[in-house]
Amino acid sequence: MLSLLNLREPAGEIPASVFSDISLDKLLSGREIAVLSHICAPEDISARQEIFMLLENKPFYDWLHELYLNLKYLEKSKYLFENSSHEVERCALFCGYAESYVSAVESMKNSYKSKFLAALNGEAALRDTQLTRLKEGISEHKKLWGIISNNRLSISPNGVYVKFAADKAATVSDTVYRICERLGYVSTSDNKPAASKMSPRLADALIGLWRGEFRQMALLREELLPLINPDILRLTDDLEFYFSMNRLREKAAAKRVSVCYPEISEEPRYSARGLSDVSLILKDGSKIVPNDIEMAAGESAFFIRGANGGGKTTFVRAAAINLIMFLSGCPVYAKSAEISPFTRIITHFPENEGFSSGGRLENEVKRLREVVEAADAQCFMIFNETFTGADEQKGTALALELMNKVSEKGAFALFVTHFHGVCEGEIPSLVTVVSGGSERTFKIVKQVGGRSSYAQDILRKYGLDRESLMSKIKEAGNDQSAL
Amino acid sequence: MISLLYESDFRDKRDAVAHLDDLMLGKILAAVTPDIRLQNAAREVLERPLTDPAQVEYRREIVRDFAARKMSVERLSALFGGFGDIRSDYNDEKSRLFRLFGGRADSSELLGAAAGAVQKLIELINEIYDILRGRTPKSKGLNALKERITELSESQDLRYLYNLAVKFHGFSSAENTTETELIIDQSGKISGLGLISTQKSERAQKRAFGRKSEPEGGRAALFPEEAGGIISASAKELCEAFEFVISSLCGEFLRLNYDLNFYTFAVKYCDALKNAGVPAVYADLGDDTDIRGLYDLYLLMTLPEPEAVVANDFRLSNEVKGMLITGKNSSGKTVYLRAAAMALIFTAAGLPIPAKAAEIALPEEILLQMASAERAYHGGDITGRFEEEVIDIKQIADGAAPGALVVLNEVFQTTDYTEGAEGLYYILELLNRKGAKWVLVTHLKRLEKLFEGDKRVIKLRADENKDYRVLID
Repeated sequence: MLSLLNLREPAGEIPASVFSDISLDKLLSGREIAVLSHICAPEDISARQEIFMLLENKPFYDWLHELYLNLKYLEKSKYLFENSSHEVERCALFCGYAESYVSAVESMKNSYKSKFLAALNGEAALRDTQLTRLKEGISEHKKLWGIISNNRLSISPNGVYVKFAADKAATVSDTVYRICERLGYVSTSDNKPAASKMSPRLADALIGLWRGEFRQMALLREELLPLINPDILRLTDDLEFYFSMNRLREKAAAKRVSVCYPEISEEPRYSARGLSDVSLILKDGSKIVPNDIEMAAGESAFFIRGANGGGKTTFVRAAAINLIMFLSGCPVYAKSAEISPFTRIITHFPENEGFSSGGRLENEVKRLREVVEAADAQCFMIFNETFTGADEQKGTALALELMNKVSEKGAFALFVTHFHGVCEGEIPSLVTVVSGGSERTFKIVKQVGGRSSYAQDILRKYGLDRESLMSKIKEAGNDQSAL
Repeated sequence: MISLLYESDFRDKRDAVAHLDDLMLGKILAAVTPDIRLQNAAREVLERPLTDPAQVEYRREIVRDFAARKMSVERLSALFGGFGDIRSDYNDEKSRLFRLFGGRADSSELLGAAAGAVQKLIELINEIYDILRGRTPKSKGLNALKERITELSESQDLRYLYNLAVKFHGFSSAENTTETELIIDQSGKISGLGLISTQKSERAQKRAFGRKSEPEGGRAALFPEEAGGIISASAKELCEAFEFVISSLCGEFLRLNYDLNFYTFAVKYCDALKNAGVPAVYADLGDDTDIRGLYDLYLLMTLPEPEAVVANDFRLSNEVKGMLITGKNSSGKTVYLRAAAMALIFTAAGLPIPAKAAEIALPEEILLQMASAERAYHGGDITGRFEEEVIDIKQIADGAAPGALVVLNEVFQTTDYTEGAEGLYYILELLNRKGAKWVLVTHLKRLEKLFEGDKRVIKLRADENKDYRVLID
């Protein structure tokens, strides 16, 4: 089957809950999520990365975009042709349909060596003979259509007369618009009403007047239609995915966010320098602070701790989104990265699931134990404030038990928590960095210990305090002597 | 497009000055005229103070023309109001036809209505032309208007359009032979369906095709209703063309009715100043503000004895950073502030002010903030008056542009006075650094201390024992 996305069966599937936990479902379309939810086999990751890298090259981008536009046009003209309501419409729409098919197939031809693109080229070559006959047929059809496309009607109480009108007479409304223009009123629209559907009765009247031409067009269509094979339309969705992900890469580049195509690691590993949360690019306007992540066998589980609003959730979201991107062969938002081909991603964001209220803790513990029991080195998990239904002591114990098990299994996990007691255990922590007392840097660093809570959240709400105003006055660029 | 409020195509895109009613603008307008339309027109103009002296002069010339009774502003305003009436009559008729035919009006009838409206609009232009023809206004604005109306009224094109409108006013698809162009596009739809001619005569159809007998091509077997549908679609296209004429003519001239409402107000305002028996001047527009013998408009317009109103001087030179006005309650501080703010706002609208002599530097923008105690603050998730005031002041501090004038009345008095004064001090400094000036009425004594040595801040004191005069402290 012709595809630009898959050479092999997917290596795994990411549950929909993961996308909603990391809010990616609100930022990307359903189609994009559908592609991202299928984890690629390593060969497909490389083949897709190859296409994404080529898309950064303008001639390649232009060619692929033209192919996409031609396919979209084919899709539209096919729909219109198949839904035509009478013979006049069918005749009119056939040429557009056939021509758009010819253009789409011709634009599939290319000289790139990528496995996906070579397949496209082969498919186009197979259809060459049919295209030659199609082009001749289209030309014959157009000549016949030209005869009947311009008419003039005279309508009186005695009847309706139709004749072909070679000349273009000025309509009264044309005259009115011309006068308006001379008086200084220029219309910004084209002043023409939207095209309206022709009634079957009028179509029959026209067919009756040009019977021979319509018959010849019908015969031509009968011969040419079997030469059109619209199965190439399935490429449209594949191309949309590439362009949409490429647009995201361009947005990131415009915001100076680094992008890379990670190495596929043979050992279990998630290593990235300068990893960014791409969802902030989509939300626009947010300050993006890149962070590093280094997880490998032996140190594959981390607690994430630190100040509210300090960037804990953003960090785990960045880790999750970029992992999903990597596993779909998409650009990853980091300076450099090396990641192993995980086959499972699991997230647990209890607040979204209503786990925060008491009474369900036992179920939650039971379910998570099962999940971790089945985990292995190809499994990546994220827990966000899990066990908040428990008191601090119990919650800490449960969190440590869970993460110790994860570590024992060799699985990978990040666990965002406010339980400070977890730093007493063996599992290392990544903590948010706060400087100058309360200023968030959104940087995450590896730390052992560190129980400070940063509970106080000082907000200089409106920036009208002395310090803020002094700095604004400084910005205004005048001397400070008066102050 | 001609405007009587702005020379050339200038349009002020800034936000309207807020809180003018805290300075009794509404009551001043109501005292000048009870007509709400005129009050609204004046308010709209006053809330957008001009910054360009040339634009101010453009309006002043027009005010002078009308005040000197060069032509009747009321009559002209009523005639320009006719554009709106004709358009709304047409819209009413259109709605009626749609209602009558269950949401699908007959286009032939609509065409008749649109043509009728065009006919009336052209007649209205000719009527305005008759009024303006004999007049010799001095202002650029009224002369430009006269020129445009003359150009239209005397043009052959408008006459041709008038004749077309008359012809289609009586259009009837049942009696006429209509020739229509029909183009089938690449999607098999009818893309061009335009009315080429229509004749009442029975032989017209033959003439349209240039033959005496049956035309070349052939007779199409169409139901009468289908033929009617084709005529209706052609009529719709022409109807849209006539609607374009309606919207173009109304678009150009309807706005003038609002402009003229402002000038009708202006003439009444000049009369009211005259009746109050105080001197009135058009301020010289310069780099400094120096107003001598300034009266408070609100008191002047509303007190039964306007002669009891006290005049004060107001001076805010180019070098001054701001003005601090203090004094006891009811000593005349707010009246003074109001008189000065209104003088600036009325001058920036192109109107005279009640003063003996005046030079005014037009501010780039005027920002007002009255005491929270005098304003109706709304509840919600904000905790209190002071916080709401802070939000308003923050907007002013963030948005103030170079050349702005910030008028503040008893702000930051809903918190501890010392804290309020210190908070305000740095805000005022920030405003200065941004190139704005400020005028502040306050009870915050600490502010006087903070500005003690600053010669560029004028300190004034209002005193009821000194005849409500506001003098240098």
